[in-house]
Amino acid sequence: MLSYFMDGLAQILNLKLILFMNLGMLIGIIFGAIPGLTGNLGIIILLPFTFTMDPAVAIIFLMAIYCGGEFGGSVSSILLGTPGTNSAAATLIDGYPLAQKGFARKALLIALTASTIGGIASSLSLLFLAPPLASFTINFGPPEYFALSIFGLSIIAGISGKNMTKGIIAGCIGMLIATVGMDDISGAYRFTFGNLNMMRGLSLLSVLTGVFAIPNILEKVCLNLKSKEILRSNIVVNKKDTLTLKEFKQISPTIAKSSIIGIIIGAIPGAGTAIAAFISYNEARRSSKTPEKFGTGALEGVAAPEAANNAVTAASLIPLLTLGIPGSPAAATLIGAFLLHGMVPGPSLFREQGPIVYTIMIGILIANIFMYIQGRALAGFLQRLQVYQI
Amino acid sequence: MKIKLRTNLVGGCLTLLVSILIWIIIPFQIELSTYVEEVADARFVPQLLAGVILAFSLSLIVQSLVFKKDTIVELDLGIELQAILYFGILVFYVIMVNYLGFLISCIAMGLGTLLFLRTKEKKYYIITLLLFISIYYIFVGILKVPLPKMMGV
Repeated sequence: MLSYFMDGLAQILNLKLILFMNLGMLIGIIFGAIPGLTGNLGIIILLPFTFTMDPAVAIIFLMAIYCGGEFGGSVSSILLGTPGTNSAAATLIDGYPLAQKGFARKALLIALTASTIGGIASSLSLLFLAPPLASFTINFGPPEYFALSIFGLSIIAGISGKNMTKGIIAGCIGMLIATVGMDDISGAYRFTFGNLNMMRGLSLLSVLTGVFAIPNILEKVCLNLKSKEILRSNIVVNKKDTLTLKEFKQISPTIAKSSIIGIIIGAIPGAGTAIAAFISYNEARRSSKTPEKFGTGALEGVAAPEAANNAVTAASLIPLLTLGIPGSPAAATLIGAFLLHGMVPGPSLFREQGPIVYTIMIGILIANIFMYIQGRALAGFLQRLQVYQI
Repeated sequence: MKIKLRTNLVGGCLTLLVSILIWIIIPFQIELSTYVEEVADARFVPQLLAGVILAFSLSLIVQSLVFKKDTIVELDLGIELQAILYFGILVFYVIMVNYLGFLISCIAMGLGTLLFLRTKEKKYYIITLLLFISIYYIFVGILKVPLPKMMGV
């Protein structure tokens, strides 16, 4: 293992690999920031471009898109009040109010820092803990998946505010909307009203637009009509706004706990980033000394889901590389990338192509570091986007 | 004109109606196979959810009428109706995109929105116009993705 590790480390020091890693990260951030375009979609679109690449470069490029996509989702969530990915919906709960108070850059930096730490922790778990984690999570059966789903839904109690009844009704309406389309067990069509377009259920973009973007627009319309002057923006950009060391120490325990939650959920086949984000948010709120601040711009409320959703990224490769079972939809897409480059995910992968596998794992770790560098460079530019809301 | 709404009562009544409506349409919208009989069939989850919504709606109504626990929200009907009007404009845009085509309907909706919000900055109108033309060109000209055309032509 040590020799494979050293070989992998040597192969990382390759300019082409570093360039593609950064390019993938930037593309991922852009894809994640645009609602409806997830990192997974970026992987699907750019997969054909990797045909002629080296296997390690190709997989690291695609994983960088995935990691960047998860951070990118927080950008539109924080700045525009519309999540770019479904896991960023948890970031919106505190990220958007924090930005509305004039701390958009702080919110972005918290999301970036938490995403980076979550991603690095996830990469380290992939590197050193893959076999024991895989053997634990493979035992998850239907009762465990059901318990996990109910645990994820328990977030409703946390964000319902003073009236949990309304929160439960809203949650049930959400689940009813999710039943539209074909039932996975029986194959029966539900609530399609004979429309062919409804048979695959409601698309992510339609739901994100309807639930987040349209109400935001209507709220701005009302705000604009109430004011006698035309509103350019009611947000003041604080040029000195940043993440202080004291605030970082404040959110560190939350980031650590959320990263662990994200790693465990990422290693569970089929769980995905959204459930990790919401469970982490719920746990952060439950264990906080000031839970009443959640929903109004709590720093931990931004850090928790972001750490968790990026912690899922590399951890979702654990069951993929060790057992051949994808840990997330993006990991399922990556199976195609692995097969394309002559690598068969499964128990024999480490034995047959150890150096390439270790190169990929180390590459994902370094990609997260570059994500931090890119994110810091973009933060100043991105915060200005908020000013141009009409 | 301002109106005051008791959110628990109004919300409870609305969601009660929604749950009853869903309960009624379930047999028409979810057809079961005649070959298999099982407890947790395709209708189980929607019926369960409709039942939960019904129960909690009644709870909200009881909270408001019996226990007098309610939140009163004041709405300016003029402002709210204008927001509903704008929502209607968005729905109209979705319908008209198939008749006027992507480019014309998007430009009309974009510029119309700016006018509706009384935007005076000319650069926003120009940016919106250029943005829609660019998007159209990128999808149709470069990516060769067909977009809705005027009257299907």
